[in-house]
Amino acid sequence: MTKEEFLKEVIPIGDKMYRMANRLLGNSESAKDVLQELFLKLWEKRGELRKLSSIDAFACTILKNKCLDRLRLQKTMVDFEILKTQGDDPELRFDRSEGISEIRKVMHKLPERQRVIMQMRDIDCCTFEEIAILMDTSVNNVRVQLCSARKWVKDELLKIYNYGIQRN
Amino acid sequence: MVSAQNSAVDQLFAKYADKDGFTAVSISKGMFNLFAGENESKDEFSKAVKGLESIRILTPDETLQKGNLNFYKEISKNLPIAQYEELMSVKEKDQVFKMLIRKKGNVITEFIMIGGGKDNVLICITGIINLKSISKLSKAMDIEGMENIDKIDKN
Amino acid sequence: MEYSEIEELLNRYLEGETTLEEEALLREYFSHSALSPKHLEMQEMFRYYADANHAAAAPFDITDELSAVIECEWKKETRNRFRHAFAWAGSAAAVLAISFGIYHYLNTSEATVKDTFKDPRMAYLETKRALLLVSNTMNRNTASLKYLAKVDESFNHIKKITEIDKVVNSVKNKLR
Repeated sequence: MTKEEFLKEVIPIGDKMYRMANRLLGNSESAKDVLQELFLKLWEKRGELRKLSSIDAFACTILKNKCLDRLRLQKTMVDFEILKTQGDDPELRFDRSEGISEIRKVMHKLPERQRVIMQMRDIDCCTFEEIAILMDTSVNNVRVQLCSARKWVKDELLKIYNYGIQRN
Repeated sequence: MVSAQNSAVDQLFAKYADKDGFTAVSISKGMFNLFAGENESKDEFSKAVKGLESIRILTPDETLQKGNLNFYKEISKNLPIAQYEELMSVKEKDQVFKMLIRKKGNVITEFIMIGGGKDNVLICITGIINLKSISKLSKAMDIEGMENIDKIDKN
Repeated sequence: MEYSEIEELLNRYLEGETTLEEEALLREYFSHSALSPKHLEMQEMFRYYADANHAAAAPFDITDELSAVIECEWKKETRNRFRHAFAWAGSAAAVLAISFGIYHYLNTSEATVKDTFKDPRMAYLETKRALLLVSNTMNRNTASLKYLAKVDESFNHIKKITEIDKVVNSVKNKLR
C-alpha cells in the first residue's frame, strides 16, 4: 500500500478508533496516545494490509490490546465488570436540560459492560463487529446486551415521565 | 559505529524485524536520556533505566501468526545460550519464561528474557543493568501480580 | 415519515435489529420538536445520542494529527533509502565525499541501536512495559532462581526481594 492509499483509506478510521479508545480508557490524552501507537503500527504493517479481509477488524484488535496494555500501565486495574467513569468522561462536559441528565443517570445504572456497548453503538455508531472485538465477545452477544440495555433504559425513562418522580 | 550488543542478538533481530508477523522494537540510550531526565534517580523506574544502553523487544503478532511454544523454541535455537548464564526460569502449564545474563566482573551487562506460551516475547537489554531495581519495579508500581493482568485478558 | 414506519423502526431498534443507517434516520427524525407524546422517552434518548456524539468528539483534528505522524515516518524512511542508494554511487571521489558525509551523519544522529520510536513518550511506555513484564516475571510465585545464581553473592539481594514478594503475594492471596 502506498503512502497516498494509506492516507486516503486508513486514516479515516481514526475518528471511530479514537472514540472507542476514549470509551475504554475514559481519558482523552491516553486515547490520543493509543491512537498514534495504533496508526504507527498500521503504517508499519501497511504492506500486509491488502491481504486482510478487514483492515477495520485488524485495527480494532490492535486497539483493544493497546488499551489493555495502557490500562495496566496506568494501574487502572480494569475488570470490565467494574469499569468506572473516570477522568475525562465526555458526557460530563454537558449537563443542560433535566431531561438529558436523567438519561445519563439511567444509563449509568446499567451494568457497565452493557452501558459501554450501548454507548459504542448509539453514541459512537460502531458496528457490531467492531464492538465485539473491542469488548472481547461475539456479535450475537453484543446484540443481546444492546437489546437488553435499550429496553431497560426506555422503561426506566417511561417510569420517570409517567410518575414524574425524580430518581437518583 | 560500535555495537555494544552480541552480534548473534543483532542478527536475530535483523532477521525477525523484516519478517511478516513480528514486531521488533529498539530503544537506545539516547531515548532513555530524553525521558529519564526530569525525575533524576528519585523513582524506581529511573534507577532501573539509568545506565542502560539499549532495550530490544520482539513479539509475534497475534492476528498474523498463531502464538504457541514454537516461538520459544525458535528463539532459543537462534541464540547462543551457552554463552549466557541462566538466571531464572518460570514453568507453568501454558507459559514458560527463561532469563539469561552475561556479566563483566560483578556487573550484569546483558540480560535476555524469552517468554513462550500465552505471552510470547523476547526482551534483550544491554548496558549496566540494575536487576535489583528492575525486580522492585512491580512492587513500586503497586501491581498485584500477574493474576490480575490475566483477569483482564480473560475479559 | 409515517407514524407506522416509525413504530416499526422503533420496535426493531429495541430488539437490536436496526442498521446504523436506520438508527441515523431515527436520530434525524427525533431531532425535530416533539411529534407525538407517545414517543417522548424515545425522543429524549435519540436527542441525547446526537448530543453525546458531539461531546465525545476528539479535542483535536484527528486527520491532521495522524497525517502529520505518517508524513514524518515517511520522510524518515525515504531519508534512509536515499542514504543507501547514495552509498553505491560510482566514482571514487564521489564515494569518498559521500562516505565522509555518511560517516558524519551516522555519528551525529544514530546511537548504537537504531531507535524504533521518534516520540520519547512512546519509547518511555514501551520501556516501562518491557521492564514491568520482566519485573513481574521475576516476582511470580512459580519463578525459580537457578543454582548458579543462588550461589553467586551478587544475586542474594535479588533472591531476597523475590522471596519477600512471594510471601507478600501469598499473604495477599489468603486475604482475598
